Amino acid sequence: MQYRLKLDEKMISFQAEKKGDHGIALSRDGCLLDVQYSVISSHHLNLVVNGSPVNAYIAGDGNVKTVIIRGVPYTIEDADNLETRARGKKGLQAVPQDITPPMPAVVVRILVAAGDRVKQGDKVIVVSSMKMETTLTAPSDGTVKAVNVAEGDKVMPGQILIDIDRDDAGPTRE
Amino acid sequence: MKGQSHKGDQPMFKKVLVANRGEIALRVMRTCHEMGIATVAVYSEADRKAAHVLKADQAVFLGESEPAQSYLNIDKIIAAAKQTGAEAIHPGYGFLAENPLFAERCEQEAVVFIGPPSQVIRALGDKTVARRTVAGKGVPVIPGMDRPQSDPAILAREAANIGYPVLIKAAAGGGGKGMRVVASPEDFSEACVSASSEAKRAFSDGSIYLEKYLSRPRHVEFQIVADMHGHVIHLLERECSIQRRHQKIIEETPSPVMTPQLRQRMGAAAVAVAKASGYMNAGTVEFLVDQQGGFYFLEVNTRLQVEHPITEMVTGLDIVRIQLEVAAGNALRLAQEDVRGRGHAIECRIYAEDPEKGFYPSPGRIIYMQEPSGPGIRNDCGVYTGFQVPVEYDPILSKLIAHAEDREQAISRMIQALEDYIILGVRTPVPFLIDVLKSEAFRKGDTFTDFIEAHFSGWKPNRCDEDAACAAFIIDELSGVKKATASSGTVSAESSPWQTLGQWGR
Repeated sequence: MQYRLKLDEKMISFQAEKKGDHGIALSRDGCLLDVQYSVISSHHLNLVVNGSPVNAYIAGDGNVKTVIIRGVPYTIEDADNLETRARGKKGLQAVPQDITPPMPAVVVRILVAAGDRVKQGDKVIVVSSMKMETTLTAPSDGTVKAVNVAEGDKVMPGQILIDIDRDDAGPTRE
Repeated sequence: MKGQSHKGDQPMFKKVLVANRGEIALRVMRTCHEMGIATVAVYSEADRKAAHVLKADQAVFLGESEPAQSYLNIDKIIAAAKQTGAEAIHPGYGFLAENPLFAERCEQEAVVFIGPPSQVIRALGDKTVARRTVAGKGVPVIPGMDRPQSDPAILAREAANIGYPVLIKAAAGGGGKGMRVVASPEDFSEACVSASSEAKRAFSDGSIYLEKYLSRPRHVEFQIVADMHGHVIHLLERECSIQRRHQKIIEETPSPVMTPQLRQRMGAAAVAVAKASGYMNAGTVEFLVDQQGGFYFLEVNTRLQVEHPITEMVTGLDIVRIQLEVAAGNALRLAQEDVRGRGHAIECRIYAEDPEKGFYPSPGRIIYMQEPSGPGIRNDCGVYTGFQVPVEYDPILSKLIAHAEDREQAISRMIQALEDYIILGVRTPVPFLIDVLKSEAFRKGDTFTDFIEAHFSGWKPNRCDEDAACAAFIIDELSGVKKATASSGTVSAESSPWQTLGQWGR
């Protein structure tokens, strides 16, 4: 069974083969890993990797899981299923083009109004999460088309707080 | 000081309302229950199922999650105390803990506020008044403004006088809220607006003032306790230099820089500050210590401090019990010479935040949690598996404390405990804390307030177990033990892919 996993922007391919009830053999670039395991709970696996025991704690939905080993979290995605879920996710990795909060937050101050001219990097809105304020900036030069939220609103990542008509948007500009 | 009798001259409260949430509410309730005092919790919409609500003998709903409608709402909290017959209110830290209006209201309503009198909170809570009071007693203070200011032009002029870099501080501040370091005049005015707004929401008071920003100081504070009969003692120091965003994340006692002579001088200064201000109950006198061993008064925190457990570990005292005793009117049963530190204690603050992304808050649901344990380990925890960590409040989840014979052993003990501390569902600074504790600079005690920028800027964990992590992913996919939450997956609980997939490869 072939697995392509994405860990920290890195693709890793494994060939997996079951060995008995509590073991699998993994091969990564020709390197063999013998893994014995016992399922302690739905979030806790005890592994013996090439003879070395280690506890792994795991949570997540089908495609993205977080694994904690020795205190360190690993975020692992199943790359074969990535394409179907890439929408929206990619935007966060690249230079942000949309004015959206990095985490669930509350709008504290709106620094611009519809029709305002903004330059790239101008502060446009301040949000607060767990009492920490974050100032979001204009991703490019342009004109504020709409402010979609009010002070005090609860907002989520992905939600566009302020629409900006980009000067460089060219013909697609409305 | 012998603990055989917990009875003082004054009768102890029968019921105490805890006007807070999270780990500190639980910590206060624990001592109350030990002393046979019934507890009343208050809670907001987001905290209907919070741990402190589950722990209390009684719980009163305050209102919407927004702090102004709940934990900062004086009328509602006073009404809850009246309604439940609580004789005293413990404010914890944060929220109303250092709000003189709240303490004053308690006084008017004949509910005991477990903390200093309102006029002392007012005097010391305004950091500028505290600076004036203390300077008069010959305690050195950091150069800066003596009064809060809201006029941007005057602030800008003061900043220029003091000289950049300057530190904007909330007059009512604490915990780094409303604090900004400003390196140059261009950034000054937006920083003032932002600091003032943060202060306004955190403390219901947006006043700010400026201090000279000292580079590479140590943050050393003294725990003080004072009764109503004029006795004031200190319970040794805590060093809290490891900070991010001016908020402490690792504290320890004793301070690696402390000598008996310096402790004697700083302890005496702390007690002098308390006496000068007519202090009562528990408080903390904060100082900065420069590289030459000179110290400067910073501020008095007129509350139980987040990091009080390390003092409890080395002194063997229960500071909340002392607070309750003196609030009831009893005399301190300790003299200064009774206070002795034993061993070394370290605290790590476990926040819901991502240390790989600039310590951004990481609210969410705790999917799985495993708390560390063992000799000398204490975890003051306010969350549990299944709890939704709200976005509205401070991101602190718990405080992990390790106590051992000496500093080196305490560090090793803490590292082990951190590696055993599993929290899934939100990000935590656990891997970061492990690396800090393992670092040469920390082990040497080179702890200055710029420690994180100096040694850990752009930090990423060393991911040396990626094969094992990937193996865990694959086994989790294939083992057939599926969670109830796996709704979107192709794997069902009944059939393992080992059974359904005849051939390898897909």
